[in-house]
Amino acid sequence: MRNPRGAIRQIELLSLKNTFVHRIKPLQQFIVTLVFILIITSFDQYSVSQMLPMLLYPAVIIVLGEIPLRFIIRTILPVIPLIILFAIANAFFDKSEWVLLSGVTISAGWISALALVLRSLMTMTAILSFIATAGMNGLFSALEKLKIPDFFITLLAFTFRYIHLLMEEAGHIIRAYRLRSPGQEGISFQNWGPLAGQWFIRSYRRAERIHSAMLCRGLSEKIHQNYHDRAKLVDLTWIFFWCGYFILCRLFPIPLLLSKVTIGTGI
Amino acid sequence: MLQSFQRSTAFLPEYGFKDSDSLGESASVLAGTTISGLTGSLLTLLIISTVIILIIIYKHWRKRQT
Repeated sequence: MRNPRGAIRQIELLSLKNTFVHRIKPLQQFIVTLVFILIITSFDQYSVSQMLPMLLYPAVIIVLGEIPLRFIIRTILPVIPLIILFAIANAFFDKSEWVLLSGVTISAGWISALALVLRSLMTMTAILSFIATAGMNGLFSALEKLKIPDFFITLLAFTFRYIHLLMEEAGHIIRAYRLRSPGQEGISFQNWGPLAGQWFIRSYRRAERIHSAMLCRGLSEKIHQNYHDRAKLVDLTWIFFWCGYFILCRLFPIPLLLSKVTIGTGI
Repeated sequence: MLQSFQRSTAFLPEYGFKDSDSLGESASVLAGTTISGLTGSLLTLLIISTVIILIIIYKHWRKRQT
């Protein structure tokens, strides 16, 4: 299993790169990602081919933003079994027939399952690409500009910044448990509850101490991200180009139009 | 002229197979739509791949220039 601390560190490092995508303002990137997700979720449950042109956006971000494909795959990998589980369940519930070829029919559930997997993968890739290019600070600044209440932004920022402390506490507990139970494989099921409780109490006490220290240093409710520079023409072009492209993909069945042009269907 | 040429060479007119006697009309259209969808999907992926390859080539070229 991948070390979450390593993943967080990698996200931070990736967001420090200086590429064309990294230079786009976080708010504009956030809006494009949001529109992408909204449009991809608005497709019909059987629209597999119609969704494919949307693949261009995450692919372009990955290439232009120099995001390693390995990072995307490794981050998405733990969620894939869950998606497949939902997709297979969907295939069993949707029993209507779907004509594939002459005499070959399959359950329409398999088509919607494929659409679900594709939709989930594309959405997750888009979100990861956004985080890897804008960074978490970019996300906070975008939320701030969208007038999301400061309380939520502060909560999110502190959760991200101090998540490694939470993991550190978990590490201490697991090490202490292993020292007290030599020769035992993993943590026994009956100890999961007490250990989770201990973890919560220790984290809460540490958070209290950190909060007190911050108050002593003049913490206010609002965290200023210092992203007050205005959007340039390239940022606005970025929004209009991608949103226009997404709307085009949603309104017109591009793959069917392409097949019409090339192999002459639908005359 | 182009229209008559396309009509004569159309592989799946009206999304159905030309020889649809063995199939029902609607089944032929459904199967034809699937084939159209598959062909269109492949073409879409091909175009996306081309765009990505062009971007990669351009980035390499820019790096060499600098």
